[in-house]
Amino acid sequence: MMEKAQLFVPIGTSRENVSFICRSFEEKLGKKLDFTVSESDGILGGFIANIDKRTYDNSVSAKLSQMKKHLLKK
Amino acid sequence: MLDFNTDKLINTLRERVGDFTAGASIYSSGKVSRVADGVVKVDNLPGRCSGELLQFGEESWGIALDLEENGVGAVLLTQSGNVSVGDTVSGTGHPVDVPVSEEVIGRILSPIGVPLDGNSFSAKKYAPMEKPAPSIISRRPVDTPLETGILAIDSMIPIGRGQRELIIGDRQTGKTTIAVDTIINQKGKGVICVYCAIGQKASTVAKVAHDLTAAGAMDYTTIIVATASDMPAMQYLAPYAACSIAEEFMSQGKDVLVVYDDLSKHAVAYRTISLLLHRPPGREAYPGDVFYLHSRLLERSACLSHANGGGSITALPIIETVGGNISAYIPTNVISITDGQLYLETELFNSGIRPAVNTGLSVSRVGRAAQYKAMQKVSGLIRIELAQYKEMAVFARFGSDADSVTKRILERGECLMTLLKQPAGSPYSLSEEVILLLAYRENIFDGIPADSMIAAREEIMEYVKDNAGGLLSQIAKTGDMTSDTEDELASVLEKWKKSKHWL
Repeated sequence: MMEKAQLFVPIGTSRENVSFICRSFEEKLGKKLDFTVSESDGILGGFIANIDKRTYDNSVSAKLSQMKKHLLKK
Repeated sequence: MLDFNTDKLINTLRERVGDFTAGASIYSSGKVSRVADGVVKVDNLPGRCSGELLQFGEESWGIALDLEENGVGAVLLTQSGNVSVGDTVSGTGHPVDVPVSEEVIGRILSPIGVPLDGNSFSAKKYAPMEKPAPSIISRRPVDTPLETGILAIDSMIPIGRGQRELIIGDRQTGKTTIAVDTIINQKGKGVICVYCAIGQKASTVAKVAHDLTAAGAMDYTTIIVATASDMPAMQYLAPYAACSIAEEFMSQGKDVLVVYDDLSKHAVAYRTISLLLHRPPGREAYPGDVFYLHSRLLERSACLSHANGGGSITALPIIETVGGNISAYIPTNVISITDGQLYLETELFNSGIRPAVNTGLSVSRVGRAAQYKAMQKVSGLIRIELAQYKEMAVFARFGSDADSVTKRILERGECLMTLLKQPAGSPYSLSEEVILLLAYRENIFDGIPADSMIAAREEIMEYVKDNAGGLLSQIAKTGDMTSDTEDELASVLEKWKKSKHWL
């Protein structure tokens, strides 16, 4: 039975890009995944994937947060 | 117009951006399945530890208290308006911590280090709120006094550095006043103070902060505040945050005084959290580990051995009773943990005896080891005399004729009771306390009318300072009084008495 997973992408993401992301995860994790893909207006770019109680946050928002922390660190 | 170096700013930004590489964030996450009354149920957040700081979105934080197979029960540290069902929750991987570096001195902060005094704040060092207490082998016996400046306490119920002395009494009996006066009296003594307000009204805390600022005590004091309007989780964390700050200074070899005002409200906040987390209620609906809640806090107050730096934490926990019942659940718990208690009575307070300390029910288990030698020499019998007076006073109310011995006991007792009255915010120094008790012992106050006692007390202290200032400095410096010094002071007091018209 395939493991369930969620993928959140920006509105208007092409099917090719979505397939590429799904295939990449399956290769990295070494298992077949049953993705539920949702387009979210809360994501400007990148994607967020929830797989097996872990979140893979590659969104623009997450990167901006990382940059903010990096710029503000002493 | 902003005055800063533009080039320097640009270079700093260029440097920071230059060495930044963005990558995906990978973290364990869960989903909020229920939010109610500041308690959040999170599904599927594996690998958390108890007390771990959790992040809810960008702005909300909570701590994981219940670890279950399929999720986590957490309490929010901030208002729950920003947290909704379905929100993603991630763990930070570390327990909730508090700033502990020198920058906290003079500041008013929340338990998680948010400044509440209107100024910005950044700390160089953070420490976890929960830490194990010092081991037995790393401690030494309490042998150094911590002077409160309150004559009734320093003479009969002395407190030492490293001791836990409970202040217990009904509402409006002067508990906070004693604690604040003790903090004020630490000026110039090298003791760092931490005042922790738990579940208090903001106006009450503001008054305390104002009094400490006016007395110059904020130069060595930190105030940690979780008011009554803060989340129960914040009130729960407040005393542990205060203790962590104190431990940092203790580890540097310094002496610290921590006031927990008050632990009754702390127990209520913990009961609120526990009931909302569906933990089984015990006696008076408190959870089963309510004793451990306070014991693990108060055991962190210690007097460290010289090999471990020699620092100490003196704790003054405050408990509010209802109807004078010190046999209730939380009061008896904390009494059994601490090294003594100061019991304040409403009847004494209302009859003008302030501080309203019941010396019969108050005790210091450290005792005379926590008294300067000079104080030991003059305070030896006053507790017994006071007890005798109270016993005789009961019979005197019946109006029967008393023999000369009884009359003497009653007169001396009334004199002593008046002597022990002390206005708030007026702590005595060691030498002032020694003068007053020496004068009492040498019968200097005999014959002085009761309504003149207060004025006589002030006059005596001024007279001795003007005529024997050198001796007082010696007492202040050494903490001891030789028999020659004692005799000299006694003769100065006699001279004062002879010069007065009421003889």
